[in-house]
Amino acid sequence: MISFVRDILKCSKPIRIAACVTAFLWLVSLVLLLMTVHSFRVKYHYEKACRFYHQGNIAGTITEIDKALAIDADFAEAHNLAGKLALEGGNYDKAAEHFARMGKVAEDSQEAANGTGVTEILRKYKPGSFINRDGLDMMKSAAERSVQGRPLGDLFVNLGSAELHEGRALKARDYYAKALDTRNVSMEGLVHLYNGSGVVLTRLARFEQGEARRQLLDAAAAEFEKAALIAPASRDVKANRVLLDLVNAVGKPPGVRQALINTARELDKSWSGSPSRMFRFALYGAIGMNACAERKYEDAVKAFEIAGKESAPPNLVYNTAVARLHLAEKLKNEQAFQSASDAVKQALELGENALMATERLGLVFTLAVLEHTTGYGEQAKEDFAKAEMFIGKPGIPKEAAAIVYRALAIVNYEDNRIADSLKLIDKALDADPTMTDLKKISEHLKTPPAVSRPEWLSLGLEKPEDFLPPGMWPMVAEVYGRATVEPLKKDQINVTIQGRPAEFEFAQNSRIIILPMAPLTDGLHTVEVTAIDSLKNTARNSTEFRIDTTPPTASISPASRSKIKAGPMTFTVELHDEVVGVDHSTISILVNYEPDGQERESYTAVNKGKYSYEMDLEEDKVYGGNPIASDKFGFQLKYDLVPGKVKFIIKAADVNGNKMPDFAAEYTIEPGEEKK
Amino acid sequence: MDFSALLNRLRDGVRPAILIGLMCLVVYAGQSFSCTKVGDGFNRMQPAFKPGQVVFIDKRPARAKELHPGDVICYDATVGGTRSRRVGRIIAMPGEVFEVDEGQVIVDGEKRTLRAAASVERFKYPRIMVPANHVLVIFDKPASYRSNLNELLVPFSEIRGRIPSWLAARGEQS
Repeated sequence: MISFVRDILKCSKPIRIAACVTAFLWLVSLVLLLMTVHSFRVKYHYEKACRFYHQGNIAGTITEIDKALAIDADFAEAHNLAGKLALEGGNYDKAAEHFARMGKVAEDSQEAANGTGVTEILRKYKPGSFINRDGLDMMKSAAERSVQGRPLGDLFVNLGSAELHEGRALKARDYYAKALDTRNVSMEGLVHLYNGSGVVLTRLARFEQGEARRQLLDAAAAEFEKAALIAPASRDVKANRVLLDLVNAVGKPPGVRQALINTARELDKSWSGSPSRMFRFALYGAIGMNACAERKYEDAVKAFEIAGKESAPPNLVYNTAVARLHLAEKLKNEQAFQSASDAVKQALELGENALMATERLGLVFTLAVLEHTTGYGEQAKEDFAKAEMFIGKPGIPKEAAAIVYRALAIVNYEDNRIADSLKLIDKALDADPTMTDLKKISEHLKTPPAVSRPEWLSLGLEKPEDFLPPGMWPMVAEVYGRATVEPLKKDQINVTIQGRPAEFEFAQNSRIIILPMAPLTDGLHTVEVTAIDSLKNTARNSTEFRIDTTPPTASISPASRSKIKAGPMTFTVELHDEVVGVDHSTISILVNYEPDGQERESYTAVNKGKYSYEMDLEEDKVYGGNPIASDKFGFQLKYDLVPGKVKFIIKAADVNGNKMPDFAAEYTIEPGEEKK
Repeated sequence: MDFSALLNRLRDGVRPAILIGLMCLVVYAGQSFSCTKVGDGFNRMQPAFKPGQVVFIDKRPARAKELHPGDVICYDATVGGTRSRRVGRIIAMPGEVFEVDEGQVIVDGEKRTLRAAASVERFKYPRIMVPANHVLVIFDKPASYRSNLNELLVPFSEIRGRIPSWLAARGEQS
């Protein structure tokens, strides 16, 4: 080799130059080859790690990632995968380290921002605390920046999940929609997305009734199905499906509900770690909501408390506070005043906690309204004042300010501070001039003496079913009230049934549910609702309904146990029900006629009206006849009898389903032509 | 030393250079193409590919992520903890929305016709987006059950290569 170099050096200049160029090219090629081998080794280990990761081989993944990073400590993708692994293992510090390194290597990396954001959120998320806003902000700014390039869908998915976890379902829905628009969502992200969308729809369904509720729940089930198709083994998806069934179970038989709760608890037991905490939180939240819907407030409070051990976002705190208030109301009615007072204090404390934690106007205001409507006037005033402090802050819409001023105006009016009230009304109108009712109130307050304006208060009364079947107690009728001045308080509404006071509870949208204080007797009843608002406007509405728990009665002619003679004979059966009438489709007659010797169902009436019937015992045929001349329903059975015995068993029920005890009539048929 | 002698010396060096070149070519071919055996128990691509059949694969398109709907790919799948090599036809790419409704395979709102769609069109699949770094594959043989999508979604990291169209076309016309 040395002699070869010497030979080259002895050559002419062009040859020497050519040789130098060749040598240089060989050197460059060698360097490139080495670099390729280096890069190839890193990629080889990284790809192997990715394969192990997809196979679920975590130990193998870690080994390969370590090898890749040992060769190239700045390999961004490897840091991303290592960060994800650390995150899954709950090692947030390590995850943060990897994502930070990745962020340095790959500037403006969405993956790095996403990973760091999620790490920060999860790291600072502990039972009883709230999502870390720094993490959220980090992801939000990365998401905003990403719009110019190719956005990473997972950023939006994780933002949506964080919002969902904070109870802001609609915001979560928006983020999920944005994530889908990016068309760049990872497999895990997609499972979270469909799963989260299902949860959003399930939550929204809680605020709907009837067809709208059913559609939302169906849509939620479809979203869970999508998530399950991608990740059939995902416990998150299974868990949310169980929660969906629980939401669906409101109003279903207790056995069905209990079975679902048991399934959910089994799932909960077999699960541990961070995701299980979230599931337990959601599960007991759902159980609590179920219990609230059934007015089992003790159970609701217990369930909410268990959920609260895992997490305490504002909506849970608020729900617990409301459940405690209902419980207090119930205890008050049971004259357990001390317990009721404790429950209210706890409820208020919870409301205060929610306020501290969120600093959101909406909650402050809700808390104030809660206190206002439950008679905690002073506390309500303080909280309305707190709510006022939010006005003018960024993100608070003018309409919200108008609502707060309006509420303050009412509070001041109730304290007879009319001048202050008028000022506040003016402020409210400045903020939202569309509040035309406030203009009326303002005019009303400025025009002494105050004139009652009945049209400001209206009450609607939904007529219940004409006839309520037995067992439907407590009787539930719904009254919807629309008070244009302010929400009506309990002491401003009076409900009577047949002139006697009835209990009622507030439901959503100003509706109240009437509960009779004692079971009502059969017959016609009148329910009357009156209300008076703070401006002394009154409204009244009433409706009638019938209660029937009495089954029909039956009689037969000739009387049972009579001795009758063989030959042509007509039996007349009369069925009578005073309130709702006999349900003809339920009538059946069993006949035991000894010559025939067989018991059989011979006749089932299906015709409506008052008819007489003829029945041929031999052929089991019934012939329609003429109405019997009375206000009773009945029929006639005509046939030619031979000596022996005949027995009729008549079954019937009224339209409300009240079944009559079996009515039996027996006869001995004696020889002879005379008939009784 | 005269020029002809140097030329002779250089000519002697050509032989190892050619040898190195050939070696590089072999390495390149080894990196770009391969032959692999389809998993013994995998018969969902019959009659185009039989279980245990050895197929020729081109690794380059998969590496460069230059795959397209209709391409037949060879990939590794883990089913029940066991790894096996499979073959499938790509029907949707990352970010595309896949749906099967009333026997029609619809991708991004448009009907996508493939003979192999028989494996899924008997079942209803809701609108699902294909995740990033994944492709959605289907098979030639009609399935008797609705597959979970995690069986049909193949990550790029698991794709071993593309089977050339002249080999894969058989299944298209089956």
